[in-house]
Amino acid sequence: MQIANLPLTQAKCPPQKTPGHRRVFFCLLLAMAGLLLGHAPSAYADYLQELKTQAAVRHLDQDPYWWQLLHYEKTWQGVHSTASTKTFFQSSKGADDPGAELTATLTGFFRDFRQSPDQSTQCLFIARYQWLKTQLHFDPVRLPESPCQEFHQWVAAINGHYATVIFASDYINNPSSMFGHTLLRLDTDAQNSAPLLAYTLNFAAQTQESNGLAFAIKGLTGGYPGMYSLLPYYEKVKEYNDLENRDLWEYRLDFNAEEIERMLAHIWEIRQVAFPYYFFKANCSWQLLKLLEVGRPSLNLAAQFPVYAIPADTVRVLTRSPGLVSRIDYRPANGTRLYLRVRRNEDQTNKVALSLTRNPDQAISLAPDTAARALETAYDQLYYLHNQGKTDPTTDKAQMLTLLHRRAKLEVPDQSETPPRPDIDPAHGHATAMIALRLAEYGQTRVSGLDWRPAYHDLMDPAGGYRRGSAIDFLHVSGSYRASDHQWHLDQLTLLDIQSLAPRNLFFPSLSWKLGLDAKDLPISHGIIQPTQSHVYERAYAAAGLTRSLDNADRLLCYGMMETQFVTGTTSGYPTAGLGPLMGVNWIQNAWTWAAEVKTLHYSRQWSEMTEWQMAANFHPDNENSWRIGLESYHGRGGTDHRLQFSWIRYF
Amino acid sequence: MKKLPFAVALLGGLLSGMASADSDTGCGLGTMIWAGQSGVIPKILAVTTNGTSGNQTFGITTGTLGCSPNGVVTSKAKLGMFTGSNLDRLAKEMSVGQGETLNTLADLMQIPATEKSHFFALSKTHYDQIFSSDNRSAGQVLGALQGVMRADSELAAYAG
Repeated sequence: MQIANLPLTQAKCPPQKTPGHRRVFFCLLLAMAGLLLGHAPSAYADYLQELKTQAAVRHLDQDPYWWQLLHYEKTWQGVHSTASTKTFFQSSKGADDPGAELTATLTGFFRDFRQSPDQSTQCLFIARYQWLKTQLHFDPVRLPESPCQEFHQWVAAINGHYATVIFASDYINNPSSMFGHTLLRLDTDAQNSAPLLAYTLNFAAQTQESNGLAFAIKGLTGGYPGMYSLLPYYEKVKEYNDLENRDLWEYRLDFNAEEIERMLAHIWEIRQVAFPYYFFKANCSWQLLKLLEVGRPSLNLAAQFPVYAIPADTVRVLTRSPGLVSRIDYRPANGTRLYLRVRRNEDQTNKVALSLTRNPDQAISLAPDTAARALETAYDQLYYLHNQGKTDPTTDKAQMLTLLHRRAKLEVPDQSETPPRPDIDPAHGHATAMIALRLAEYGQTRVSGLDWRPAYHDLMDPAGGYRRGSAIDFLHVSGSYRASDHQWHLDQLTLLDIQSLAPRNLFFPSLSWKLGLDAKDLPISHGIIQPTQSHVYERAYAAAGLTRSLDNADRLLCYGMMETQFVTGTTSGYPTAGLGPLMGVNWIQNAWTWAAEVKTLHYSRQWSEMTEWQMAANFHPDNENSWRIGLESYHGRGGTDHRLQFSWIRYF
Repeated sequence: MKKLPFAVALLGGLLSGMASADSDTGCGLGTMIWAGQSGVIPKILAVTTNGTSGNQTFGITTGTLGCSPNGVVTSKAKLGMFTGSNLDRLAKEMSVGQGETLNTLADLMQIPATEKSHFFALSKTHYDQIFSSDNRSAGQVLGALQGVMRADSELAAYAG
């Protein structure tokens, strides 16, 4: 590695003819001049060697903080950094060798930066520099410090003194988005007086596609680079609240100025660095936890997610760390506001609003307050539909403007109401993994069963913190030991079950739907109900229909859909396909949830017609436990079979 | 890039020449109202990455490069960037005379707290002038707003 070559590096003594004592004096003078004007490369080399030795003696390359800054993770082969951008490392072996990287970084600090101080190693990797400086007590005379003006100006412009974790909740009618997303906002003041202008850090996959199977696969397997971006909060509020209709929850952390500065220094280092994005493990939320640990090393958060990191769970661990979260604020989405508005309006106002969306110039004869409400509702509705691409692009803008112009002429204050903050925020809902003990009776057989599910939420689980009517069941395994043959059986393996019961009204024309893939033990053999000869069938199913809310708080939902099912594993060896209607009701009453569903499917081949009833009641004394009783009845050729079960469910 | 027929290109040139005299479309001021955001249609599989499409630099996306080096908006660009990004919200909030975004706009224009309610009322009264057509850019809206403010004795000082 080339060490700085500064001019006037050699103090030269004058030639022979000068008298002795003056020669000595001159030597000293020149040597001092040499020191003042520049250092001998050998002095740099010495100090560098000294620092390298100190670092080795103190094993700084094995320090957890060094590993945090370089994003090293233990692998079965040793150690590897998750950063994939080559320029992140000073050593060619830096990605796998913390010691080599430390040495190369120290060497880099000595490079002459005077031509472009902001591009010096010290400034580009300022967090490393600051940490090594405190560890090794750099002598500014022997290791000149670069001013790093660009970095300090950037920090001053961000003006961030408080850190807030932002959680973006799910889209309406898209249960998979329930997993959520997290960002970090750097607030200027404690009271949060101008949050829209605060800068927000976001880690996301850089993709070219926005949908499709390639997108899903690449997202799951690290096929996309993930990178950080810094944007004013208003950009994110617009994206999440307005365009995507996702509620935002703001969790203020009690980080102090020093901790924030450490994070900022590291953000400066990684702002152009790519990390492969893995939807399950190394996603936005996991990266955010790692960043928080750079700010406060005593936090041990990311290690709690060795296999997968669900964003809502990462916020959960923050709230469980005593004193870490100092306040929680709620920022409802446009869709949420409109939903409340429609609910609170009188019917007449809603009627007028609807017809205004079709004909904005229509005359309205209402009192000014009511007229204002109708106009505001009509605008909100058009804007909502516009963002979903459901309006006519040639006329929607003119229509929206007409409504706003009419509204501006009314001397009436803003008629909108802020939706009340839900009692339970997403971080305080039930934990996403579940284990359950079951006692059941299948026909005449007693069984004891065990259930396990890593994620996420079903329609009987305590609904606080989750969207009403949305459910995802993932890798749910259900097994039981049966008294009939003293054997363990697989009752059900649900690979995936997604349900979206989205209450539909004139303003929210949502389609409810369901789809899934599972293997289930059914009391059917040769197409006939035969309780004693049950076995496992593989099923793929999908359903679509409508849901209506029967009360004003969406506690009581009723729904009807058409379901199609494809079943393999039949005794005949041939798969069978079924189609038919289903109807159901789901009612939340404080700590109780009641549900009933019936469906009749007409199958091909042997199975003919099969009717299935499901009824269940769930009581949750708190968000950690549920007691559930359920009955499944199968009616078909050959008779009826009932399966009654009682479970104790624990969320963890 | 597609090669337009000569006539169309000529017509395009004529029209753009005839457009508003305000040619400052940098740093967000060229954003149109209700422009939306591309690539943000929720689909089942799309949520696996919460991704951003295209090549995004550390700062804001295309069209505003140079206005926010390293992600931080330059003070000169702040008002334009904010207005450009929040045009939809500002249109809505000005029509009702209040709102968080409108309040933040007032802050950016350095309107003191005592003058804010006057600012909200004034922009609502002159709404037709400020949002005169659905084809307005943020620069035009901001220009019209500042014009309204200049004509008002109390707010003229903040019209920029």
